[in-house]
Amino acid sequence: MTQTVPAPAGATTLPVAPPKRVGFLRRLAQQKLAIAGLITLAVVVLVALFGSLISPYNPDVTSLGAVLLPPGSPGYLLGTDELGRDLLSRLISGTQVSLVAALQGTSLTVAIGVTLGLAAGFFRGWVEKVIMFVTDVLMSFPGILLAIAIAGILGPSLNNAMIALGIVLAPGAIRLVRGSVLGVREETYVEAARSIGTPSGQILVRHILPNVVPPLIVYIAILAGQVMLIEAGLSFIGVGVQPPQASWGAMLSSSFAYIDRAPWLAVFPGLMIAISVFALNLLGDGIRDSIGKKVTR
Amino acid sequence: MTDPILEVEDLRTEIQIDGRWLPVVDGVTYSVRPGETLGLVGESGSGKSVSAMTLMGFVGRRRGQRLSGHASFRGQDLLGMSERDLGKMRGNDIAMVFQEPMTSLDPSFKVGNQIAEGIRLHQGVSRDEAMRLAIEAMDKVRIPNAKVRADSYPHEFSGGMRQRVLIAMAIANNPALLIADEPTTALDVSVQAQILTLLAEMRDELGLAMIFITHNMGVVADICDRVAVMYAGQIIETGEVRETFADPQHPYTERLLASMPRLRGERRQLEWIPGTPPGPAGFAEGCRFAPRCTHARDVCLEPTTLLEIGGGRANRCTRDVEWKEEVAG
Amino acid sequence: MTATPTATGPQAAGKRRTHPKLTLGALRFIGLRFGRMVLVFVMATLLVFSLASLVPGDPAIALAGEDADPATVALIRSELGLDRPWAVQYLSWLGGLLTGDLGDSLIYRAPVTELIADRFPASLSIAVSAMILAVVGGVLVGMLAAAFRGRIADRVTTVLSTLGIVTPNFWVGMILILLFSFAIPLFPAVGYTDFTDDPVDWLAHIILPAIALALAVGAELQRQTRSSVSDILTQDYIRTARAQGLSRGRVLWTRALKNGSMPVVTVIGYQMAGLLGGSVVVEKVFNIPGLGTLAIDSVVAKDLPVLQGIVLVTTVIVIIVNFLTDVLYTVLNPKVRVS
Repeated sequence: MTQTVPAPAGATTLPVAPPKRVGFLRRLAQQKLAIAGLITLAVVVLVALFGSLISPYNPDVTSLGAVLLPPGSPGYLLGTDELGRDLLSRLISGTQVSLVAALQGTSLTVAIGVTLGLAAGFFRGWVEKVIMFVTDVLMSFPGILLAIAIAGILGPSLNNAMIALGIVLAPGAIRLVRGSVLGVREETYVEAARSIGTPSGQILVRHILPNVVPPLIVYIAILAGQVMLIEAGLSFIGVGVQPPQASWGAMLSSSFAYIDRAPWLAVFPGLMIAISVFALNLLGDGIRDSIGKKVTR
Repeated sequence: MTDPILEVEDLRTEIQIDGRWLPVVDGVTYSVRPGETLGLVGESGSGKSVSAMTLMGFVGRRRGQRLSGHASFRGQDLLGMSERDLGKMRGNDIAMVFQEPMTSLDPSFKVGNQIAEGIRLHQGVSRDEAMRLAIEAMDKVRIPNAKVRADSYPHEFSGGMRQRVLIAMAIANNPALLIADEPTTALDVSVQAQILTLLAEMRDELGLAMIFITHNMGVVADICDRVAVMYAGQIIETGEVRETFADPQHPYTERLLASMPRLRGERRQLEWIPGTPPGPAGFAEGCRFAPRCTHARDVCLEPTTLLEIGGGRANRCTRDVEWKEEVAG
Repeated sequence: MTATPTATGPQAAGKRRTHPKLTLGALRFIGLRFGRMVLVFVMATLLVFSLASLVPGDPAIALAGEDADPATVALIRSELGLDRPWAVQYLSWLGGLLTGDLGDSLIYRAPVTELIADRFPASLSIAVSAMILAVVGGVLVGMLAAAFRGRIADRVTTVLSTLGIVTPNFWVGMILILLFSFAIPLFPAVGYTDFTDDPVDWLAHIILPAIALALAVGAELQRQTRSSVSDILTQDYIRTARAQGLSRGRVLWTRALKNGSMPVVTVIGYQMAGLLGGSVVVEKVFNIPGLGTLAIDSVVAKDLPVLQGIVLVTTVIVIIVNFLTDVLYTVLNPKVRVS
């Protein structure tokens, strides 16, 4: 929501309505798109948690008589795959796998990012120089390629893939956290706290963290989306989620061979990924817009 | 008595904010004759800049903006003019100079090129000829070494020099009317006088009509022939400068004149007007100055009109002559 | 601004030059950046080399087989040079690198450099095409969004652009194949033809993968352009240009574009890493014989030298592009150009 009336190029500022003091949650609620994203996300999470209860079939049950049925076939809302497994049930069970993977990857990235970012921003000096240098180097590697390399070398498994992802995406998180810390360090109230002898730990917790957390939350939302996309790619190639488990990305892998005969097998899993990442992005944008400008530069 | 080159009558510009239509400019009436300089005076937020921008077609034509009233330039209706025709007039028949010289030049293009572009656009001459004319314009505004400086970038010029460049840009196509919106406000005091002198010279040399927008009554006394005083989006008094300054017909004008610091004459305490001007959301129903006016009476709660009082003067004060009698000797 | 030999200011009458000249400060900056680039390169080689230490288990045993006798294993180990200290192994590898020797593929028994050179044109075709599409599409749409900010065109493009960012690019590739290879048989689904063999066929093969790859990058460019140009349109000098009589369109495509191009150009440079990474999976979908599929195959086959080689080559490309982008930024900045 803009504060000023869109004025013609560089014109005198036209009068504005006085800004209303509204709390963060209230502002978030006003962001219709963000709410839509939140609701979508909530639905996805619920499906991941309770999906097995509403799943019409056991996702692993094969039925050679019901192979490659199109959506709308009696009893199979979204159709079946090449082994006769119900697509809807597979999608539902895939939700859990995809979300767990996303959670894993995101947590690891954030853990590394926050630790090193805080260290770099707070301690400065050579600690910062070393961390930022390694960060820069890592960012020179084409992300997915490096993730594939690491995951492939460690051995194809979801855990290894998420470790690889954590390494690849951490630099971004480190930069963000360090930036937030730097933004606050210069504030006079931090100087003041220091000058009266407040221990570093307290300064960190009381002054710096509150400034770091809001942009971090926005970042996490967007990051989770990125993790989902990369995990999908890794699983598609075969170095991520391993059978019999199947995330949406993994489902796309096997569906590719049948794409001309059974397009629905490729369309729906991909759609699920897109919808989830979209929801995460909307949420992230919404949070960012509701935060207000007083946090960080 | 020649016909006015610009006639503005009851101009009204409204901006939509949070669903409400707020009149930023509301009842602006004045005219400018060829070669004449009109001073448009008012405090910040009085709507003086917006009224000029409206005439140029920069305000009032988008969504959430609307305008009404009449404004004609050389007989042509400005408010109803198409964007295309307005474009032909801007920088050509009517030119405008703005307040912030430091940021008003494109940092990525050479100064000569920026002036020449306007010349080519309206005069249709070749690139070389346009550049020659641009340098000529820079000469006219007394930029030393114009030929060489035309090849420079804006960041190589000082504030005063940049304003000269902008004035050169404005006069390059020999406009009939120049609107100067606080052209000296952002400059150092020493440079201000130079630019004012320059503008006066340009006006005399080229026979320009000028609208000089300012909040400084001193400047008006300096170079303007006529003055129109604005308050809260309305014109509250117009008249010839000498007459108006000697015998203001509106309490606000009187207060403005009284608050001018004087270098000569007896020493006295600096006067000011208590309170602040209202924003468009808080305009009073009747006289908008009444809340701050020491002469306000019940009759001032009625809506006001700008009345011509003869001798080329107009006044919006409902208590017209009465209030003058109340002013202590 | 740093000291330069030429005089500055209004008094610098006859000394003005007509072409841009780099200030000493700019040159120093470029020099520093170059030094940094070298350091980053060295560190990158270290990281790539240490990828080998991630391999679980003993590579010699892996090659020799689980039941091989210790003598054979030891022989293989010394053959591969694995019995030397780590630092020596690294340095000898690095030395080979600088002479263009990246080792031999374990599977193909051919020099890695040869394999990479062989696969390079295909990847290059797609990456460059994708970048061109992304830039043209992204910048154009971004400018339109900025010009019509707040209106329908802007909102629609924002949604489309977001869609570009949230969809997995390989999935987009699959959908494109579905639509334009099967539903409407316009383009071939898989495969690749060299440009030198048949330009038209080459184009037909790269167009779908290029589009799939271009989407995410283009979307990001669109956002960046919109933001940058939007901001410029509120600047005072735009107001001046309009007051001169220049139309909105003209102001947009000349002034706004010129002033806004700099941040966009730098974004393009920094997107290279993402583009190269994204191309890996897309290549697999379209079965393009490029570096991406080679990388994936080498992961599956545990062909470490090839994998290391590809990672290194692509990283070096990114490092160089980043450096060039930094330099370009310095050169393009008019305040730094003229003394």
